Amino acid sequence: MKQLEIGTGKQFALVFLAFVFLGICFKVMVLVEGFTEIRPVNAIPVLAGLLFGPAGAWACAFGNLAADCFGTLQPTSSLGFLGNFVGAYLPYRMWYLYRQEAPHVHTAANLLIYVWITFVAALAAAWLIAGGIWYLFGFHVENLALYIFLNDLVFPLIFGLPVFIVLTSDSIRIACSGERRSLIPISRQWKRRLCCVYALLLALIFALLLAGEPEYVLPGKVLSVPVLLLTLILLL
Amino acid sequence: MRNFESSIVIFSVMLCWASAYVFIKGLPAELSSFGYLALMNGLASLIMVLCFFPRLKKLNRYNAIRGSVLGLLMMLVLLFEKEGIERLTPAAASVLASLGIVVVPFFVLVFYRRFPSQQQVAAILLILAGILVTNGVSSDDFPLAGTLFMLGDCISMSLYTVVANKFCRNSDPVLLAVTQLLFMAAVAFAFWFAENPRMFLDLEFTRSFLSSLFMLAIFSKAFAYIMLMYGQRYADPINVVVIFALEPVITLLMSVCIPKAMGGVEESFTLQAFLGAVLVVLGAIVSGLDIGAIRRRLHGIGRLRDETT
Repeated sequence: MKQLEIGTGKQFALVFLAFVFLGICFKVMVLVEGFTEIRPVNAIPVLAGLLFGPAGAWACAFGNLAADCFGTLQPTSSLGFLGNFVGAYLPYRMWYLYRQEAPHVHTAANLLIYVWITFVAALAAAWLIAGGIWYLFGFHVENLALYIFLNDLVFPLIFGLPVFIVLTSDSIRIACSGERRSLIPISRQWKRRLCCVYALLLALIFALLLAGEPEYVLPGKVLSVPVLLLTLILLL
Repeated sequence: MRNFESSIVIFSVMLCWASAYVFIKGLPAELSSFGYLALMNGLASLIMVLCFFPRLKKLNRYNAIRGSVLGLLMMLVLLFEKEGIERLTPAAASVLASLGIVVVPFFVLVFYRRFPSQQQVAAILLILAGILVTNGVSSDDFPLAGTLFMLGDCISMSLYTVVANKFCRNSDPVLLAVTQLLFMAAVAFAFWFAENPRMFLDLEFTRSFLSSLFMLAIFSKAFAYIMLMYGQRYADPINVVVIFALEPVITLLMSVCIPKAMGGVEESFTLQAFLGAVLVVLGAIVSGLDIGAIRRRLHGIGRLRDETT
């Protein structure tokens, strides 16, 4: 069967509209007033990143910002913008560290990679948004990191994964955005190792965010420096 | 699509249906069952027509008839279920509805001339035991009318599973899902109009109601039916019914995990319910295991060990 090709503009429009529509619909299932709610829309970033690459990632970031305009727009929305961009672009970049073929989960090994990159992307989004609010805006919101992490982990697995399976099946065979050359000249093998270090550091910050004690601000800020550096290495 | 991929797809459909009750609680009490079905299916059809408009040009009589047959079967499932639940205790209704686990293999034998594998028989027995342990019903719980309605529900659902599997293999799954939902919406609107000609006019459309409505239409209808049609295209009908048997387990887990404020019921997890759930999950695992691959691997390891010694 012929591959389903979608132009970059159409990719952006599709993801953006889906993000805005679902984002607005779920504004009522609030977990932390003004900050987050139960968000099945978070199934989209991993999916959009793997399928459409940069176009999908930008669409998620702008889609989230547009959805925030319906009642929750505030200075911290900039962190939501970043968090959703990274939540989509990081899986795209990470996939090509482990596989040199278009994303699919036809094998158990690929399925594990999907779960792993979803896990790391969820930790990264929790660090960017909950950590950003605490370290940059100066206030800690209890359980925010946990809710962001769960939203970004559970929904891509229960909704994103089945859609990904269908879109990459023989019935549709969607054409994925190809790999882009990295600007940072580090081998894949080293980047894969860095990925593990990155996940470990993110997990440490996540634990500090969950604890929420004021004395953990400084260690959190210190750990955020290498994490930020690693994020840039993995994304660029 | 591999076997485990189709199982993941069907599992997501089951999750959508099992979690629907969280959003159903957001609907107004004055909305009748037919009103609920009409609004859900109507909205889901509208969303799907808007999303797949270019694809609808390929719709022909063949697809329309097949979609309508599936819609009719699903409508029968919902109507029988509604009548059955009104006349039976929840436990008895649950046991009768779960008998699909036995009826589907029978239909597979009729339609495909294929007996269930030993693995599938073991899974079916485990799941049946799990259902009985969880619900613990007695013969007094089965009045004739209610029992017949629930058996009708079970047979319609089993027929739906097998027929959908047959149709999806050589029809466009999206067109089947759209025509199915359109048919169900039309029938539900007709029943709703017969029940209450004022229909929408008696309802107050609050933000919470609209949100629940959209969520149910998107996830438990549009998303679920498209995924179901694609999943059924590749899945074995017996595996489908085994995955759907997990629905009470997931509902039980959700009712415990989701806070009461968001639709959870804070049920106590009894030992009986836990044991039943374990048996059902074991059945699903037995059904999903690739025994042949495990045997080959064990055989390979044994041979390697023999060679090295």
